[in-house]
Amino acid sequence: MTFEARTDATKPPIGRPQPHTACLDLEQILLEASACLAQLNAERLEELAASCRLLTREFATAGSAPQSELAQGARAARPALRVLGRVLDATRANLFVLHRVQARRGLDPLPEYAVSAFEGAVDGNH
Amino acid sequence: MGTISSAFNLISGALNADQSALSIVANNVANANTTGYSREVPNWQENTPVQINGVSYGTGVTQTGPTSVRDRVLEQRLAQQQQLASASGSRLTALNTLQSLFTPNSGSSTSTAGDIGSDITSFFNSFSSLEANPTSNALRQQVLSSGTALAGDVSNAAASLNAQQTALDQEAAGLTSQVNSLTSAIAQLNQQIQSLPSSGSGALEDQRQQDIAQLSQLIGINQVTTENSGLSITTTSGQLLVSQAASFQLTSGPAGGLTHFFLGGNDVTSSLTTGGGQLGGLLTARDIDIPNALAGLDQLAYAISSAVNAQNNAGADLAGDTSNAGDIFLQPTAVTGSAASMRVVMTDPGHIAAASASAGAGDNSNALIMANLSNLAIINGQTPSNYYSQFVSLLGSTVSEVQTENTAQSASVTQLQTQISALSGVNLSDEAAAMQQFERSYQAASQVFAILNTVIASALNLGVQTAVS
Repeated sequence: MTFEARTDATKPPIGRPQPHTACLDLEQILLEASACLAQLNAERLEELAASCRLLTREFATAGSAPQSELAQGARAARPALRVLGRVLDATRANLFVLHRVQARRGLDPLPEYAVSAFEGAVDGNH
Repeated sequence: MGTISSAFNLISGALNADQSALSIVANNVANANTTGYSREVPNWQENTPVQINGVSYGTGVTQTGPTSVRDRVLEQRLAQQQQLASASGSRLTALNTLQSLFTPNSGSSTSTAGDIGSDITSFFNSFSSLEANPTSNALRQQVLSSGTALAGDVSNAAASLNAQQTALDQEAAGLTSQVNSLTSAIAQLNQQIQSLPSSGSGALEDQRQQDIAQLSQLIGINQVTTENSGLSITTTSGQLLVSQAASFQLTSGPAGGLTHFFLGGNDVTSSLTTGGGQLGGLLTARDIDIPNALAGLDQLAYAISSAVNAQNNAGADLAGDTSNAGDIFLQPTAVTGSAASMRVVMTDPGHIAAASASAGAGDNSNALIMANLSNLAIINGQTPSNYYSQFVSLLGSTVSEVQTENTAQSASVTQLQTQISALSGVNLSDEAAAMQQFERSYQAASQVFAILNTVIASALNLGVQTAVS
């Protein structure tokens, strides 16, 4: 599977959604967050995080009608939430490997990044 | 030392070294768009100083050749993730095909294998109809017709599953030659790389890395680096594929009706199944997913055929005969294979035993009992309809789970490719900035997840909402 280029930097931020439309957007936000995380598009992810914070404030002050729509949107969004959770798990594991690589480099007296510095390296699996 | 001539020698040596370094940079730029190319950096070595009257004098610098910028830990992590993504991808393709057998196509009410769920309902409903008029020949014929539809769809589904298993088997067997070509190429490259000084093997190592990446897509492997940039490759369960300049051929042959795989005379099929790569995904679908689906259908066919036959034989047919009613379905001798062989064997609708053995021909009590089989837990503690619903639901859950895994693994591969590009790519992007971008992305995505997880949990918990600051 490949991720489509949905992480266009020119894409406008979600902004300040209305609760009744936003609850329908939960799944889309989660799907986009997964795609952005794959592409390491930090800027877009930070926009999404900001939009999510706005979203919760809107919901906190919304009446009961949007709540039923929210519940409907929430049910539809659960698979996408699970996907983002798994992408986060994989990202955390990759970060762990990258930190370990950096730590090894710091200890190694040979030229930085040189291939010989990593002869006999651990397998990278964990 | 100390003469103008020696100073010129020292300076010209430095210029030569700089010229070599510029050549390396030019080579990097020229290969900016070369797939798999790793940036090279010059190695500088101080010339041996000379001692004159106890004083050490430097003699300049020499450029000893380029070194490829690569990180084996990252490359191996990428290979591992590619194996997982490739395995889940090929398994997902097979599962989608499998699921389409039981799920109506878009815009259609029936799937490739018909609608077994409706068939079950119709079949038992036909006994309910017969119960109202037990001597009606048309209603008796309807029982046989609906039984034929049910048996036909079940046996068609089993045949489709068997055909898919055969197709996967052939696809898996076809990968053997690709695996062997790659392991042979890697072994040859190993030999060439080890015969060169480390500073001159960058291009060959790039080529070897590309071959390893391709091999990782096909099967699960482990890499072990050895002296002088050598490399050994094993399957994930430890069987040697490449050791220095030698490669070990994967062979295949029939065993139990399916293709098995051998390394050094040992059957490695099961370890390849769990090892990853495209082959692992195909074998998982062939040896686990499809057999599970077939076993589920077999249970369904065996239970319905056995229960209906037993009840028909317990009653009296239209002629009032209590010993000649016989089987409606072909009586399976074992659970395995029941779905494929399911069919209606009764040709005379008069033999349907609507009456109980103790009553006359106009009695309907046995038809009532047969209709009520649909409400009894005759298959693994479940009614036939519930069992089939759960079968389809479980299949859907498996597809969804593998889809999720594949998405996450593909994302992981994309991330690692980005990091490796930052490290060894020619664009010289700042690796520290790339790492920072990685961290920021993770932090921001974690926030999105935490917030929406709370929102969704709250929304599903009777509309109680929680604001996340």
